[in-house]
Amino acid sequence: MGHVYQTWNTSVKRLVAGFILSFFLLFLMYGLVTYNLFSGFTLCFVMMTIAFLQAAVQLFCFLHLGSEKSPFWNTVLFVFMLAIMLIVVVGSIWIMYNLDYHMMMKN
Amino acid sequence: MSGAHQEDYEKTLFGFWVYLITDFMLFGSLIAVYIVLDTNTFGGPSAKDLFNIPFALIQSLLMLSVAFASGMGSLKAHERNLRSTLSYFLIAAFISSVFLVRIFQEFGHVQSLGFSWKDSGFLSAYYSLNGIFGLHVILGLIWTVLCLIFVYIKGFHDVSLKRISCLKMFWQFLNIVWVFVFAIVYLLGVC
Repeated sequence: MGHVYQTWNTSVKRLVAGFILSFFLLFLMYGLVTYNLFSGFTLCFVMMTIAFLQAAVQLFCFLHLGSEKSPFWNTVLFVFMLAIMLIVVVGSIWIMYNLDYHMMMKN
Repeated sequence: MSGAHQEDYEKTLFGFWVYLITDFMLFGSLIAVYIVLDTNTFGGPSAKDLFNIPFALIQSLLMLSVAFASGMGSLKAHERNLRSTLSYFLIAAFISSVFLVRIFQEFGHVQSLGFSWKDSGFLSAYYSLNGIFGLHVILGLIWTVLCLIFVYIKGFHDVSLKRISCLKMFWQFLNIVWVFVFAIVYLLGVC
């Protein structure tokens, strides 16, 4: 009955560290937009970098993504999903943008 | 004996992780649709006119707190600490219901301005994305309440721990999705 089932070492420290880091990154994103530090494509790029960084922090600190035993199936699966979603999301945006461009009326 | 339990526990958690991966893909597709239809406002309002960034920031902080409380709750559950587990998950349930109410408040705000999801591609994509996110929160809330009742009655054994771990993973997954919704819909929308 006293058997601990966790397959990773959770600790309060990791959770709190994840919380503080995410908190800071959230305010960083908010500050970038509110104080207009970047604009246009640079803003998109910086914002997405911070968003992915925050997702990584949460995956590692809260969901313990890299901390499983040797075959690391959880991480492998997640990376595979990222690859597919990159194709789907970036592909959709690219194709639809292209479609928009070619369907525009040429004055 | 404990080896079989351990394997069962790990298999269940991995299976739930596979489900969360497919759910990531669901939200990824919805976000892709939103990005494509972002500027299709058909003469109606755009993101700049509708969205309030401090509102979204507070939503993000609420969601982050839910994820943290769930993590703490799961930690306490593995230490077999009933009171702490119940407290943390009840806090998570309360905060996520506040989050849910605010999502509906935002829908109500858009509707009070006279616009609905039928008015443009942008509005349709926005309502779909936030609506399905809200649906996930509702289901998570129902699941949390049921799970806590089960743990309270049956105590901590294999099934309880599996369910609590899966519940924790669910709230933390929703938080990660919300990070992207916050960045793409609210922050980049208003710029």
